[in-house]
Amino acid sequence: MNTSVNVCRLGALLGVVLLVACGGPQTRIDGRQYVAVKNPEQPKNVMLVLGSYSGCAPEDRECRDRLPVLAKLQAEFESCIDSGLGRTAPQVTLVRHARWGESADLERLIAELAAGKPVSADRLAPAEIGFELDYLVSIGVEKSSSDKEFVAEIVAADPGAAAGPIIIPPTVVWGFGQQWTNTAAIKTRVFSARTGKLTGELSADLTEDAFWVLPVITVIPLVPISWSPDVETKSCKEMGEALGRFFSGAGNQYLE
Amino acid sequence: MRNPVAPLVLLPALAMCGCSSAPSKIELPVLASYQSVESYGFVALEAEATLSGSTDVREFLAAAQDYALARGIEVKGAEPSADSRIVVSADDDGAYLAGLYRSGVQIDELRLAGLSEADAQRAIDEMLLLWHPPDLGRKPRGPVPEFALRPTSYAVKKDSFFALMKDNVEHMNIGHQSWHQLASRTPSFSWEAFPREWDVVPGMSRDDFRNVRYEFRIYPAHLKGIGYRVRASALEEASGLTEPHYTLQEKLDFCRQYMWTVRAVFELNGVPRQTEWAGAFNLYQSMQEKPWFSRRNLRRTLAARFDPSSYFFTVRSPKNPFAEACVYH
Repeated sequence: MNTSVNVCRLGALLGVVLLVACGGPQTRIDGRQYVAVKNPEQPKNVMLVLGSYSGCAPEDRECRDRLPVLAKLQAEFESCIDSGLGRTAPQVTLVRHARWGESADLERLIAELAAGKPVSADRLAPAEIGFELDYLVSIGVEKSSSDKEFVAEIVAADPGAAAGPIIIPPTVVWGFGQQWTNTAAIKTRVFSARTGKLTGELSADLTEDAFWVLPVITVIPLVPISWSPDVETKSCKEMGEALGRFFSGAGNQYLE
Repeated sequence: MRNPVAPLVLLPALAMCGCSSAPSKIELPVLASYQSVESYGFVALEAEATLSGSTDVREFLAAAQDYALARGIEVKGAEPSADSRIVVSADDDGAYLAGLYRSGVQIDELRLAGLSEADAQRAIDEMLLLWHPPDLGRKPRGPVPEFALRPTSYAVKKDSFFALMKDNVEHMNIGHQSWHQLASRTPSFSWEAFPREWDVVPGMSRDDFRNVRYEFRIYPAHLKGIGYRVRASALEEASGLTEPHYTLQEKLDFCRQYMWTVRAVFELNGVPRQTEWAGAFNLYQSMQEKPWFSRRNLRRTLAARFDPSSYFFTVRSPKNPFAEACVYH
């Protein structure tokens, strides 16, 4: 059990939710770039497709029935990626496609991208998808939580005292609860819409501590405290920022 | 044909073995004895009767024999007539001991963590091959002691408490060795050439050191407990280097922590020898930590708690261009 977990737990037990301290871990970004981004300062149109979510890929039969769910997730990821892109690459426009689930071609294209298959440039041409496109980003998301661990801890104890006729009863401040970790792992593959080639791969991994705890003074329970960080949204926004740096040419000098 | 093997006259070390006197009293005779040059026939490897039925021991002996032969030392099976013998036995607490005997007298003892191939190589390295320069009788000049090759491509430094707090306390390493920031994903490392001025003691000349080659290794580092350790297998290693520098062939990943080390392998008057794998062993100057503390069974100091590899030189790869800052864990 590491120190940060103890700090979080102690803070929670004391009724002071140390959000800043507990929110210490940051998203770990990794990336590889294979082809330089041309004219990085020029405006660009980028389309995002949610290829898979927690192991559920669109080409899987059971996931086909969940397309409305995936469409909602697609919209959510477009929003958070766009938020990150806006901070690091204002010249990039995220083109949102409203045809999710309606186009069999697009569906197949997404499935092939998710499977890592090469995509020909003509399939990404404006006539096919309806607008001028510079890059297509396929995104895969895996979200998980660790097993929950039971926690019980005494924070402070006063043995009590007898001050003349007044007897102060013993007081114990303690608490119990559970702690676990939330993890989000996002992987993106960036394809050039001009050439159909894979130009880069980025990943964003974030694991943060989560807990709920019920503070108790001797036998009197207080208000329960819980903290479960939204690692998915946080890592998604940071992935958006990383993509922005990618499209701004930050990795042009580090080609693989 | 019998090859001359490691020149050790370690009788003074016998008296030191297992004692816990002040380090300054121990260092000199051990080092002085390591300077001696003498051939003493071939080495026999054997296990004591209580262990001879163990498969692990047989594998250990075979691995030690293969490694010794690869390093130019002729090794035979158990032969009582051998001038020198390495005998593996088990301690009362279950720990393995490798004892080096010369003419029937134990002159060195090494505690082994197990009987793996790495343990076998360590036994040969430390009991037969290791070269120590003389005790210079001066305070350490920096984090890297004289028995290790010092990096020349950058200065090994120690982080101050405030630097650690400002940077990230999670990077705190054993001895607070600074993480040197690399500028390239295929960086070049250089170190001082061997032999150094102080390796050539009176009565010897530089010509006594022949066929000097360098071995280089770089490992991914990972946090374990309160310090960093190297991964079991090296990311990249090179041997037979004739010049004291090396440029990585494979690109490092962005935002990663690595630990590297180097040693000189050479012949001293015709017998194979090598220096210690280099590291910043003097970071705790008040403790005077040195790898051979644990070899000499001096286990009561902090030094014994950490494997020498914990002190290898720590570097960070370049920042990821797609990230605002590196996240190492």
